[in-house]
Amino acid sequence: MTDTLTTWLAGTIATLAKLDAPPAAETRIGALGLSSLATVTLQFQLQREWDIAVSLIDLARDRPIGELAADLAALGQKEGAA
Amino acid sequence: MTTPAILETVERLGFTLRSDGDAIRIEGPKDRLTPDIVSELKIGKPQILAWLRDLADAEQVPLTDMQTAYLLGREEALELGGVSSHVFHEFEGDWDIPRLEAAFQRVIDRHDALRMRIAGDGARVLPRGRVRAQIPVIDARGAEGEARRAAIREGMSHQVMHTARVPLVEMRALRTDRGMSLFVSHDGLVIDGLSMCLFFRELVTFYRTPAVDLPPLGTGFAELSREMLPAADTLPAIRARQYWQEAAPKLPPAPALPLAADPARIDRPASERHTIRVAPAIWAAFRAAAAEVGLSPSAALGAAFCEVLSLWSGGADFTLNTTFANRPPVHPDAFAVIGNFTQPLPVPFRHGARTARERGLAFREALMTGLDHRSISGVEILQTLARPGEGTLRLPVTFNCAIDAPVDGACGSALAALGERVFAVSQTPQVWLNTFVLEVDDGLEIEIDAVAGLFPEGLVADFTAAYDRLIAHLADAAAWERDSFALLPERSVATRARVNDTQADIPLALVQDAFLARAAETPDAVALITAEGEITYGTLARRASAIAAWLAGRGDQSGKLVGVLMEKGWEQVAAALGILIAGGAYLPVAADLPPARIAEILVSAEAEFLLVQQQTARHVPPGFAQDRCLTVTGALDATPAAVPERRAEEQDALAYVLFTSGSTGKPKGVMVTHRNAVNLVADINARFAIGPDDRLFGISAFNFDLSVWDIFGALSAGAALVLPREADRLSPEAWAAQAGGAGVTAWNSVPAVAGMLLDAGLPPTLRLVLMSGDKVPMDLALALDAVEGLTVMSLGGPTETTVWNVLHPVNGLRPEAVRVPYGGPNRNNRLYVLDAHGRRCPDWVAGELHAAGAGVAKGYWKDPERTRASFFWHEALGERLYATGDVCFWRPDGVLEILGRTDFQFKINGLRVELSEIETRLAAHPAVEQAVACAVPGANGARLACAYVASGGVSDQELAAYLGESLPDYMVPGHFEAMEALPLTANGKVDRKTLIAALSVPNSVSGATSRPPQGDVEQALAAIWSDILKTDIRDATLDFAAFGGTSLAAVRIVSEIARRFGKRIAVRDFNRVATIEALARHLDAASAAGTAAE
Repeated sequence: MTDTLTTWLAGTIATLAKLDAPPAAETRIGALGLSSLATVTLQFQLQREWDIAVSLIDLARDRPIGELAADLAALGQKEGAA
Repeated sequence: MTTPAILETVERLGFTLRSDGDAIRIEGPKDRLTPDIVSELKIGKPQILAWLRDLADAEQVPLTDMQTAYLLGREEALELGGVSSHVFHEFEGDWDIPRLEAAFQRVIDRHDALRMRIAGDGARVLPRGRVRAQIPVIDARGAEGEARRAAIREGMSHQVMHTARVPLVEMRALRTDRGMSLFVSHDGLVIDGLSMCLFFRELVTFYRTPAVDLPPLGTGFAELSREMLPAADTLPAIRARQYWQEAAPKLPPAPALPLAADPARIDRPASERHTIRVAPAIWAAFRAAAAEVGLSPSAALGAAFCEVLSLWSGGADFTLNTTFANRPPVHPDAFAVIGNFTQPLPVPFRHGARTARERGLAFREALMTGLDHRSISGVEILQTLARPGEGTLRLPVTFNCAIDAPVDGACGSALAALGERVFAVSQTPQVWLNTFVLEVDDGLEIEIDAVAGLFPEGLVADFTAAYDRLIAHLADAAAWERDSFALLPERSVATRARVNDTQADIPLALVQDAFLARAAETPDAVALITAEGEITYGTLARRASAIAAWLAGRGDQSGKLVGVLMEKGWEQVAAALGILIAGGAYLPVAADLPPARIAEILVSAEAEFLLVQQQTARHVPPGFAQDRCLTVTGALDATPAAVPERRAEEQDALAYVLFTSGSTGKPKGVMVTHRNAVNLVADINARFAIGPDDRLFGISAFNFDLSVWDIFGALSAGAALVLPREADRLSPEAWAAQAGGAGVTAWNSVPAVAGMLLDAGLPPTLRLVLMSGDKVPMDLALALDAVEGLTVMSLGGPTETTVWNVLHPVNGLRPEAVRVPYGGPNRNNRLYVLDAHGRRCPDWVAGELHAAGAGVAKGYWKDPERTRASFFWHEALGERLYATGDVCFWRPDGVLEILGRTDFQFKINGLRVELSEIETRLAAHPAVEQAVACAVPGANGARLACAYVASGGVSDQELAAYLGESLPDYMVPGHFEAMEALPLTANGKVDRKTLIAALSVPNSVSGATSRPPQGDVEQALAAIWSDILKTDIRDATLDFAAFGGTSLAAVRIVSEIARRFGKRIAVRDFNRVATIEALARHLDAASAAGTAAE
């Protein structure tokens, strides 16, 4: 799930941040310059498409996209189990 | 007239129109119905009827909280209300108006928000095609073109559109000889920041390419706004509400920007715009730098804005009102819809972190945390900020950032594409300063709109320039690691450098050297003039030398303090000189202090020897050995000491130590060196050309540092010092008589004392008045300024900066002046106003005054901890500073103004009072559990009052007597209030504001029943009190202190009683009979005694 989520995140972020190409999994979230509006949209899309509820503060925490995807995947599994 | 225009006109007149079949029903005041209106209604009847039917059929859309707030903001009763959230633009270019009108029409038809008719109970959307776009063209070619342009700008730029208008957008065109102008005005009720960009983007698109067909929007504002309605009982809403209720009390207040006017007094707020244009290269570098430090561009811009705001707010933490485009992401087209989706979001900015990066990340985290709790409306969030007793926390500084919109072309470039925007301004109800950031052509445009006249002149321009500069700084990622930035305007930096350029040579001498040289040169010249006679320089030098010899015979006095326990008299001067000649430092101790205080000071000072007068010998503390006391009399005589060669390092020896009120309950001794004092005397004597012909009047007490210049200023110049008798120290008539007789030329005192001399009669020879230690009242300043040939100066500075380190002429004040300015530094002194983080404050911004230079004292006697806290090295300034505790600000012309104190310290008649010292002493009473001292406003300035919680029975009189055992009279509060518990703030601190309000109510002594003054004596006394205390005295039982009575006011009253009744009352007696009732009894008793004696 993590790999799929990583790819999805990179693609969605590329659209929201108007990047020419999806960022690599090692790219740090902080370095992408996601606006609060884009972060809110990403949060909404995660909820809608992946059924993952994550706070903005967690979503915006500076870390590589791959690590974010892993954390979100874990969160998704936890919520699913609950 | 168009249908909406007719409807707007009739609604403005108070009418309501309804369709009733084929008729139009008009409800309202019939007398206002003019034939013209009736005619318009008849002509437009079919269209009006269709319109009214459409409105009746339209579904009502509830207003969002923000729309409701904007509607309320139109109410003039609100502070800075009576305005709409509104933006006005003025473009220059050339347009085909019918084509532009068609483009406008298409935008209206595309967006339901532009077809909304808004009323207090909701909005109704009119169908497509019903609302006609109109762009009236005014042809003003000819002489009046510019006048018409100005009139349109004036009328449209701050207009409040009637909500009956549909659309809430107005466009007009003007043709002049210069070309064409287009004016666009839109209301925030239906167009927010992003919507503004969308509006212009579509307008330009439809204008440039009429054939284009934009894909239809799958949603509209009406639908989306329903999604924005407050969710009262959902789990996220409950959680958000709980979060804000807990977070709100911890939020810091609004930015404390300096104001030039009370916002409540600005009737018709208008905005002035300041614009920053950030070049594409800098903006690109800023974005990259922000990404490097982990910040989004908008968060980085917000954080940088806060950095500037922090500097202009004195460094205090604050809450910024940011806005968030709360477009419900329920439809892919949500970001393409025009409407008002704005939500306010309070975001705190705290200056705790060390670097701009850390603060920026904290700001972003606060922003994200706030957004995580956006399940209630922004208006509801703001409502949670209400604080007990303080009303709602107002956040009148707003920051809006409309960059990185998820819709192509929805940026500032869309506005630029319409034409050259030559003027723009916005307004928001109850907002002082609104900032809007948008991208334009790969660069950035930052629009800062401030309420005109609210801020001091030049402040917003400086602020804007600083923000511009900071963005350029922060385009380098490394700059984010810095703590502070050079943001002050070069003009301010240069002005302050000029003002602080005070360097001059300091004579290489000890403070007594000039006197000894005068004594050797002109021994027969008069040095001191007392009521008993004159003392020459030679005699004074011999007596001083005899004292020095006595001390030297008892050991080396270098670095030691020798006490001088005396009342007013020549002996004080001889004692000071003798101690200095012996190499010691003098320690003045007032003989009228409570015995415990005298003993405490002598112990703290480790004074081994004590000089006394015959009449003060009885005040020597019991434990002080008699053989360590010298009684100074005229019998002392010895050969005057020669003036030896001096080395610079000797100047750093102590000259005197003055003990002042201390916050820990213990007085603190300020150590002043010879170099400090020599610099002061050299400056003041040269500045005012003090010479042998001058006569100074030594009114100030020896333990008050004004006496330092009296003594050494006079004796260094070969002038004479006139000394009043101790018994006359409180008698203005005696001062006037003695000063007139002695030909006094210079007067140096606190303002109130100078005022009393003015009332009693200035000596005709007087040429100089120096006033310090307290604010100079404007009426006194003007009265003295009116005296021909009189130089009048206001001076200031704490004891720690050696008598005075700041001064300003009182003569020739500007006519608009409301107070005497604090001024600028004197010779070899420099002044800095620093904020809580040690940064230099911009012009007008209040901070703590810090002193540097030759006046700064050595520190506190035997108290390294307090010395370190107040005297320290400032790395960036490269100066040793003393933190004065005075709150000041720089005016742009380089003049300082003083506002008050940073701590719980204030002055009574120039004497410093630490409230915490009173509290500490009072809390030591066995029956007192808690005590808080306050300075409460009185008719004659601040007065002392005290609230306490007692565990056992204790009376106010007992507490006053208890304090009087260890504190000087002026530190004993005149009003005590027993409480069951002290009021506390929400943070659990003592609520001093509430206490001050409670203690400001005058109370009667001993619970006597209030009654008005009765009989001739009481009524005459009441008239005297009323006149001097500047308040209407209607109660004969109220305490003198409760009316703000001070010791100086008591002196004035006693003088006036003596004049009118021919009876002199000692001031100490007056304090015992502190009501009109008791005073009248006292006078009657005195009369009876006098009559009996006769």
